[in-house]
Amino acid sequence: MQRRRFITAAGASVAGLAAGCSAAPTDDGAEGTTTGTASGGTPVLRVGTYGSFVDAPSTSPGGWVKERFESEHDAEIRWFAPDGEMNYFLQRRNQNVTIDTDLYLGLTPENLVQADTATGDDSLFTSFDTDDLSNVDSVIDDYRFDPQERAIPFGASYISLVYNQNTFDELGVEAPETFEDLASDPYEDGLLVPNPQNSETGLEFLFWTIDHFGEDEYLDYWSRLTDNGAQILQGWSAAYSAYSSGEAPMVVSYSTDQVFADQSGADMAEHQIGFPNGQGYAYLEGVAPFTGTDKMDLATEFVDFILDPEIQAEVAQRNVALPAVDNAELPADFDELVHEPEEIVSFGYDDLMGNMSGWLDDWSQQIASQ
Amino acid sequence: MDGGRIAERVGVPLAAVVTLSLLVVMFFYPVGIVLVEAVVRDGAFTTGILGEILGSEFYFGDFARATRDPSVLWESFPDYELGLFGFTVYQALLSTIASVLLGLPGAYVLARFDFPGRRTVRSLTALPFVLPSIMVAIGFIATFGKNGVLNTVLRALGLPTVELLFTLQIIVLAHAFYDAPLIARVTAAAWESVDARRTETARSLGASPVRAFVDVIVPQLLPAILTGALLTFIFSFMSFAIVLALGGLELATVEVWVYHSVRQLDYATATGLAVLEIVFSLALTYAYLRYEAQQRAGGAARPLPRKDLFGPISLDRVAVFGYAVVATLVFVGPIASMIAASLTGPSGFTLEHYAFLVDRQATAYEFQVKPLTAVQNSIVFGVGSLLLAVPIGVLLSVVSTRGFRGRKVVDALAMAPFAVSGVVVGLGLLRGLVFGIELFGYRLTVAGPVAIVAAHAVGSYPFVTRSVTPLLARIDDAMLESARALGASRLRVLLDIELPQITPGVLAGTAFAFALSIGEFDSTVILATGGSGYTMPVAIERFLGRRLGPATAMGCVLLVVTSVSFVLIDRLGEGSGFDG
Repeated sequence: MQRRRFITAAGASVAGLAAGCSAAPTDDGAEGTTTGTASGGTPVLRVGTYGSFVDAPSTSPGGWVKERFESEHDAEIRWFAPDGEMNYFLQRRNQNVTIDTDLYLGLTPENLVQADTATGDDSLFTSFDTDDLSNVDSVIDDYRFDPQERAIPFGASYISLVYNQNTFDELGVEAPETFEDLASDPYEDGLLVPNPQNSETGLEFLFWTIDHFGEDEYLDYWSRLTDNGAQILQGWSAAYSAYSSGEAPMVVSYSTDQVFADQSGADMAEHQIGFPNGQGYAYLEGVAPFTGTDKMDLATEFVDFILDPEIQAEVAQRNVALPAVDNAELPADFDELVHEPEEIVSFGYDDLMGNMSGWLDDWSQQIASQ
Repeated sequence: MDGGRIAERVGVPLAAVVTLSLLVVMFFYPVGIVLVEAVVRDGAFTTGILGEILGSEFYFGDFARATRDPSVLWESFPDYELGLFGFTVYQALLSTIASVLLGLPGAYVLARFDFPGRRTVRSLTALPFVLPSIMVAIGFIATFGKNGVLNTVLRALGLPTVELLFTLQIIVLAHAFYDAPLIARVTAAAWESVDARRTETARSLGASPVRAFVDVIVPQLLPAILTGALLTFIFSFMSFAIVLALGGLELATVEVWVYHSVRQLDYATATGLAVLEIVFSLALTYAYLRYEAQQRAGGAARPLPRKDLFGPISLDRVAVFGYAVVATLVFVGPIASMIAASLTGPSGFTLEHYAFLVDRQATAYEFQVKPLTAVQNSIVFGVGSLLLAVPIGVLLSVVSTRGFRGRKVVDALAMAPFAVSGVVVGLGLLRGLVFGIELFGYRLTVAGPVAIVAAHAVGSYPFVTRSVTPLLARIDDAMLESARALGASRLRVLLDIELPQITPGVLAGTAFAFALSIGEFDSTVILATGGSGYTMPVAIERFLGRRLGPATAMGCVLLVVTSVSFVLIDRLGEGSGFDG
């Protein structure tokens, strides 16, 4: 047993010494251990993004984008998808730690407003020289969300209802057509919403109701909605899996739902798309360079590449989303499965600035106080 | 001096120093730098935020109102508005009661009956702890949902169906799913070490079986039951994801707000709430420890004989079978539903989700998650953290049963990893270790696999401590003293006298500590900065999509790997010769 105790003590002290401890000189500029140049002298572009862009169970564009870009440029793409997504980088900035990443792909208007609110004039992001982006003029105007043009839109989706036609047929009701319908008798216990506190999907659905009912009325609408049995669940996965198990006939999700349903051979009646009041809320994704990157030229080349019509079409399909430019051509079968609303709703930078957390806090307290 | 004495002189203090440094680096320092924000604003000490929270009707309901107008307390009695904090305590209390009610019969069956597979069932009691909340949510919806197994059976029998989802009941049941097996395991361990001679003596002195049970057995089980109840309460009090997945935001807990505030970068509120959570949990722990310290009883030279479960019909056998039906529904139902989901596609039975896992293994990019690597990492981290957590847990247990001033405070602090909000620990690890600190022009960071192992060990050793202490406390001091008087070293005493008597507790603690490491998500993803330190729960999260199949298939891999591990841990533990 002496031996056992010794092993314990030795094991523990090894842990103490070698717990992945590292000491890096801090006067090293933006260079960390992971940026810089690869072994062969090929420049490395470190791109921050969200998890499902590089690793999703269906398809994800990350691998294809990396291979294609590297085949056309003398550069290496290194993906970095921290669990906290944009919050991770904001945390680093708040703690005065170097960002060590060149640009972020998948920036939403909410991310940008939150980052600017937290950092003030000393922005986390800088801007490209748009003269170097050959297809930037084709970016759809409705998708542009950053007045300072730091974030360049590269993709979009529409938040919508996904509903089960079979359930409505059994109940003998039509699919709901308006926001008011959702709070009415025939649709009692009918709607599942991802929690806006944890989910961008839910948060933008909340903004959509604020756009529709106004700042003074949206809380009233939500109390009618929850009185009618709408449930606010953990996040998109929890809401969608409860929907898949038939707990409710409607869930707040995306208008690209039928692409997935088609891939897995599901019953299309269970994947109908609804746009309340003919509207869809545009979920926008941008790409922006981090302030302090020393790879501005390469970052610009990368974004120029991402905006290319052919690449746009391919990324959109692999990300199951829409291109951000109007000259990308999607195959007809994909286009047919992706539904688009008559009217696009979306809060831009100026709408959100100064309002975002107040709206969410008021709403959260109301729901949790019930 | 012989080798044993030298080892004792050097080894024990060394182990204590190592334990303490590990706790400081991996827990107290990271958590401390975050929590300080609750009481420091712009460099000055303030209780402003705590006062604000305590006086807020949103957090404390009528109790906050009462600080301004005490008449609320009798005017609204007993229908108090609880506020977020009050509701969190209330649901944790209900969850604890439900877990004890579901767990105790399980302990009775495990400790007092013999049946084929008994040891395997006992080994698997830690299984719920490895399951990510989203998996449990999927299993629960498939079992208790509108179209779930329970309602299908009720409908077939012509009985009215039940609406359980999005209610307080389902949250309580989900907490019981996690924690009742823990109570069963810890209590069974205590039951197995009740000395048969003591009940026999009571019976021979004329006590009825009930009397003998109440007077002899219950007092010996109570510390274990209360340990299990305390842990259940704290876990349910800190519960977060499962509450939102099955109950919805209307049933939010304090931890939901800690997370929300962190996402909003409102660290003052987040840390203020976390401090109040800690004060509450540790106060409860301290109260329990005061009780535990008063308990002293004899050890089990000879355990009570087991009864064959299968035999002539008797009242207790019928009751056990009744319990088995309920336990099957609550514990086996959700897990079986998850297995079923992994084997179902749009057109019925399919193996495509497992084919997906195989395909991922073969074709994934280096920056994507591979199932087999996740399995390997989970096992390596789990075993590694046990090698740290078990000795640390036992050491703290030994320390806690030695009488010295302030030991209950040390004891309560040893429970801190369970009492601190997981969100705050994660934030602390990120800021304190991954981002690191700047010293003399260098930035010191701690991350990677060894850091993950250390973090898991720190997060799970309290299980070992709490499972072992009740058993250790019962060992007769006189026996230890005479052994020491006869010249045995402290180490010898520990090995020859104490360890054999606490083995059931060590094994229970080991199993749950291992489960906690396997199931841990936050510290793993935060410390795995290189992108290669992912584990099975991380893979499950990555495989979540429109279809339940890929994630549930990975969930089943997790189930199989951990089930085999639990059985092995128990068999190895028993094979070590300590177990009777």
